[in-house]
Amino acid sequence: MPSSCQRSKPGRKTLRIALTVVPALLALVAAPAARAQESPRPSLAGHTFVSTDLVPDAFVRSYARASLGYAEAESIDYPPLVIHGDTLQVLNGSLSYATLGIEYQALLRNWIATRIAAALVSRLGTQGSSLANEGVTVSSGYEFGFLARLRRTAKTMLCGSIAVTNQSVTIVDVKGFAEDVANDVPNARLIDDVPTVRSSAGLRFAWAASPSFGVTLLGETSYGDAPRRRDLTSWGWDLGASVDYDAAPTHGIPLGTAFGYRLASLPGITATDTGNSSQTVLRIAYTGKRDMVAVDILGVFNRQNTQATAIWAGGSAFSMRIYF
Amino acid sequence: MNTRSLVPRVSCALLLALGLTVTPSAARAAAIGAQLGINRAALDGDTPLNTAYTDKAGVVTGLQGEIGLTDGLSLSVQPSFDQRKAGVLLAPATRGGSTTELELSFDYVSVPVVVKFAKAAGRTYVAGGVTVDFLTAATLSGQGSDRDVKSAFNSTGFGALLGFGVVFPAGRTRLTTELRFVQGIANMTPGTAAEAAGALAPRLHSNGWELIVGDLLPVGRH
Repeated sequence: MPSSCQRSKPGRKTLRIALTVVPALLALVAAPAARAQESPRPSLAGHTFVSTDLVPDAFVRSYARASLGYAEAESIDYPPLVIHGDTLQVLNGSLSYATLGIEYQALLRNWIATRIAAALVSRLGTQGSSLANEGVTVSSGYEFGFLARLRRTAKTMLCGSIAVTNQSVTIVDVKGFAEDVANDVPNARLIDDVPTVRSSAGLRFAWAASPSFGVTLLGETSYGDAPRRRDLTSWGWDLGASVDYDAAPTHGIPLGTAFGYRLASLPGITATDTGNSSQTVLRIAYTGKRDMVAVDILGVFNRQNTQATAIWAGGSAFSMRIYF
Repeated sequence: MNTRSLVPRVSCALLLALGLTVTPSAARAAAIGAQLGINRAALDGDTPLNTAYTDKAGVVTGLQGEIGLTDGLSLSVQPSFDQRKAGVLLAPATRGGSTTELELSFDYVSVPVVVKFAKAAGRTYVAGGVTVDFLTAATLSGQGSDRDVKSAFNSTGFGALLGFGVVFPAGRTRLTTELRFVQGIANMTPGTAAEAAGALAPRLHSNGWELIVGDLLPVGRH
């Protein structure tokens, strides 16, 4: 990558401070008593929504969320590794993903809330060819913004959101480093860091189809530093939808399930822009009065790899959400 | 689209949107005052080879004007002098050599436009908004005489902020203490020199914490 610059470590110290200080301060202003008559969980027309982390709900509420997940893609074919004329004999590759996310949303008024979030996603090549081709990638960052209610009817809710995201992608490029060293490229770098700051705005829509079923839709657009480092800035968009089922109204048991799908135009874990990526989640959740504990079955379909071919990855995640 | 061309347009749109929310009937009270604080600024982004940025403290001082929009909701404009400093650590060129530390100092005239949401009967508040920054000076110091590096940076900037404040009533005035996080959105560097040289345009954003104390004196009808 022709560059006069080395990527610096992003504001990780700032991130650590933010994750400590801001939730503590915002917790002071959360006012659970203000909605004593209203369910703390997102609900409309007798339906309580089972929110997913992939397609966030369209409700102005106070809550805290933490999630931890793992996914893996196996048997990925890579072309033979050729370094300075020598071909390395390696097996097919596999990729392992790990995700960590925390989020806090504090109600400011019954129509607006502020939210902060932090996320870390890592991708590791766990076989020789994938480690050499894809290396190790860590995407980390934070986000803060506001969510405001725009319109509410008996069965629907429309919210608008704005946010600023500071994210960096750190790439350990084993193959590129080996090629640069072999080709006597000056200042060969093993680690590259791509910082991005982006602003986003979006709409979230919720529809309580019945006391048991609900639908959530998401549309977002963003603008800012391009993940693809050769570009200065770029626009991006996200579309998402989820359908959820709450068993409490019909069966009286505190269980729910949701299926969510999200399509994004920007790469989330690489600096290579190789087309849209999509994710799915099937959530099975215990739904308490104020809390939700969920197990997710994750599916990732993307072209965020050096070969620009579609990769399927599957895994699971554990998520907890507490409403105030 | 160029970020620099976007900044004034976005600023105008946001200011207009905020201005539209202020109606004579909604305006309940106004207050003016001064503020003083410190920031712990950070630079985030690309650095030259074998260098790193470190946080440094700077001064924030200015005026503030506040107008009530509805109950517990107010709009505040805070034109300020904002000094942001960062250290630049250069790795030693030879084994056993010492690290060189330079200092980058930016002087901005900042105009934060903030919406405050009062909590706890007005004793605390959450503030969110945008800031438009105008660079007045940029200096690199630490090796011999100071160098004026203003031309290497964009003259205007744009950022977003989120803060938490505590209010102490003191007679007619209100003393405020606020901790806020400010994230620069626009790239600080134009990158034209790098692009002309065939390299990637660098990315650089400021972010950091500001601790500000101020006073607000009510004016007009209450």
